[in-house]
Amino acid sequence: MGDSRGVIEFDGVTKVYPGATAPSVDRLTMRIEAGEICALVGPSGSGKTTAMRMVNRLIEPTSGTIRIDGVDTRSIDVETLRRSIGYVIQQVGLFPHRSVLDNVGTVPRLLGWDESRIAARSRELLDLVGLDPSKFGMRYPAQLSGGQRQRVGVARALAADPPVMLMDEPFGAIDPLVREQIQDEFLRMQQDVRKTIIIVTHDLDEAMRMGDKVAVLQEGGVLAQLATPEQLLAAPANDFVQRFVGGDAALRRLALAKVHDLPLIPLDVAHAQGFGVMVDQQAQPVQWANGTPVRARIAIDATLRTALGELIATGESFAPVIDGMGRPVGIVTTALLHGWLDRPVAQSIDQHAAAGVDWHGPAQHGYAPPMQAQPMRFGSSRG
Amino acid sequence: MTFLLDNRLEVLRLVLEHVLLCAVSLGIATILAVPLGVWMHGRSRRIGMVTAVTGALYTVPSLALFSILVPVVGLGVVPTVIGLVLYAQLMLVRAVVGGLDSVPEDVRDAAIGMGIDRWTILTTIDLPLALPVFLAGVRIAAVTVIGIATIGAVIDAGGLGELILQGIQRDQVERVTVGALAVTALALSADYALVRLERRARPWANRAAAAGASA
Ligand SMILES: Nc1ncnc2c1ncn2[C@@H]1O[C@H](COP(=O)(O)OP(=O)(O)OP(=O)(O)O)[C@@H](O)[C@H]1O
Ligand SMILES: [Mg+2]
Repeated sequence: MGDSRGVIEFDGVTKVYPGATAPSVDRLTMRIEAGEICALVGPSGSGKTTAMRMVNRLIEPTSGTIRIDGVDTRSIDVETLRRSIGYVIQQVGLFPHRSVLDNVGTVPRLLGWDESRIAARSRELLDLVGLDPSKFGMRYPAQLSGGQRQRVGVARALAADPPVMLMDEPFGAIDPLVREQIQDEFLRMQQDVRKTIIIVTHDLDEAMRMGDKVAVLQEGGVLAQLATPEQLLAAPANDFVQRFVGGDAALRRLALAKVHDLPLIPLDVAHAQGFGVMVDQQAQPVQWANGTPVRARIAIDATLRTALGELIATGESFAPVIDGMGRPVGIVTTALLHGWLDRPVAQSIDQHAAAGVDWHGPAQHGYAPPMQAQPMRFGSSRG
Repeated sequence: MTFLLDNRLEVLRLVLEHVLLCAVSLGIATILAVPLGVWMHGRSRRIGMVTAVTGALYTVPSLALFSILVPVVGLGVVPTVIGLVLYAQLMLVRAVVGGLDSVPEDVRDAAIGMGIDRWTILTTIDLPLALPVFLAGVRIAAVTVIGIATIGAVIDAGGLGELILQGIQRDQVERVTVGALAVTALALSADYALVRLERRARPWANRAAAAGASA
């Protein structure tokens, strides 16, 4: 399974349902790279499900072409095509009269694998989605919780190792707390399996969390913007996207980045500018060079949004950033957060894929971004 | 009571005849109803058409229906079975359609989306999942058919109706009573057996219910 498998291309794809006057999907053109998650968002009725179901030909396009790895899907036998595409829906659609293991083994069985291989693979997948096969394998779907059922649905879709997965509001029926947990688990799993995934959702937060790219559809099935989550928030393509991402775009953007993405002020630079940080015996930051106590400590892997929250809560405009051991590695300031929001971001992926990478922080600090931040011991950086 | 003891062989023979008559009729009716129901399912025009015809047949009184058939196919078992099959049709076809309707749409959608072909979906998903609802329909049809089969005795089909008919002709109340009680007992046991079968047809639901109850 190389990374070149599973490129999905929509090429001017239009769907007009019989009897409808307007298209439900209108000349959709986009490309999803292998191993990428593309979140399809938009208001109800904007054609998300229709667009997704055209990929495995549950719906046939009125015009236009969909290609997977360059092959027109219409040239592939429809059942062969579907068996090579994982399919997950909100209601899961597990077969109620089959055990969990049998459900997971559905597509391998269709593909004619031998029973021992199917059994081994099904157990492996249950493990992968965090369900103990010896505990859950022989249960019927009715004996599972909603979240467990959804995991089985994902395992079933992955069983034959398809390069492409289609997911229609897969976590929509799960309560918010469990949903976040399942999303995280899913992303962790995706690190290993590297599928090309189209995930339909009308939850913008979910789209931002899950999507490498987000495709925003607006009424009439028109693609309003195809961009990274950051680009979408920083540079909405039109009023519709602007309204769709809402008023707290800045906070959402801060939630997308981690403190270590910032060009933190190195400790020695801070020291030279008069706000050095003093550490105790355990190398924990305790007070500033001027004697005032350190009130906020910000973890290096916290989101910028968390960092901002900490700063506001403590009334500070800067704070030491600490590593996993609690040792200071640099200084974060509200100006750095502001600079992050202010840096130029392209409107779409194709124009400038690496937007923001060469940004070095607000110029007024007048320092080069550190390659690494060095922790400082009491008095060690004198001179 | 003495009547039953004196004539137990005859009563047993008539019970068996009755059971056979009904079982054969229900068997044939099922064989016809399943494809018909599958053909109708999800097509409102077809459902309207078939329901109109079977519904009209259902309103014809059984004695009249049997008598109409006699000039065509003669006396005996054949016209009775034909009549019973026609009566059962309305209920069974509805049961098949109802059963298929009870298959959750998301289950079917997932099945198609995973690339299972139509025939395999029908035989391994639709029909097994439709079975419990279908069997509930079979139950009603069985009880009805067991009752109506009694009339078959009038056109020489045998069965427990014979006992009742003879009792009336010979003015033997005991004979009539035994006949009527036997038909009732038969209907009740068929009902009970099918309830059991219905429950066995959905092990997935039973185990879930059991787990829920014990939790
Ligand atoms: N089978 C169908 N026949 C006719 N029109 C349809 C059909 N399915 C969807 N539509 C129409 O196409 C449009 C897009 O529907 P679609 O289900 O793709 O929207 P969606 O973005 O998935 O919405 P939601 O968020 O509510 O699921 C809607 O206007 C809908 O009414
Ligand atoms: Mg939808």
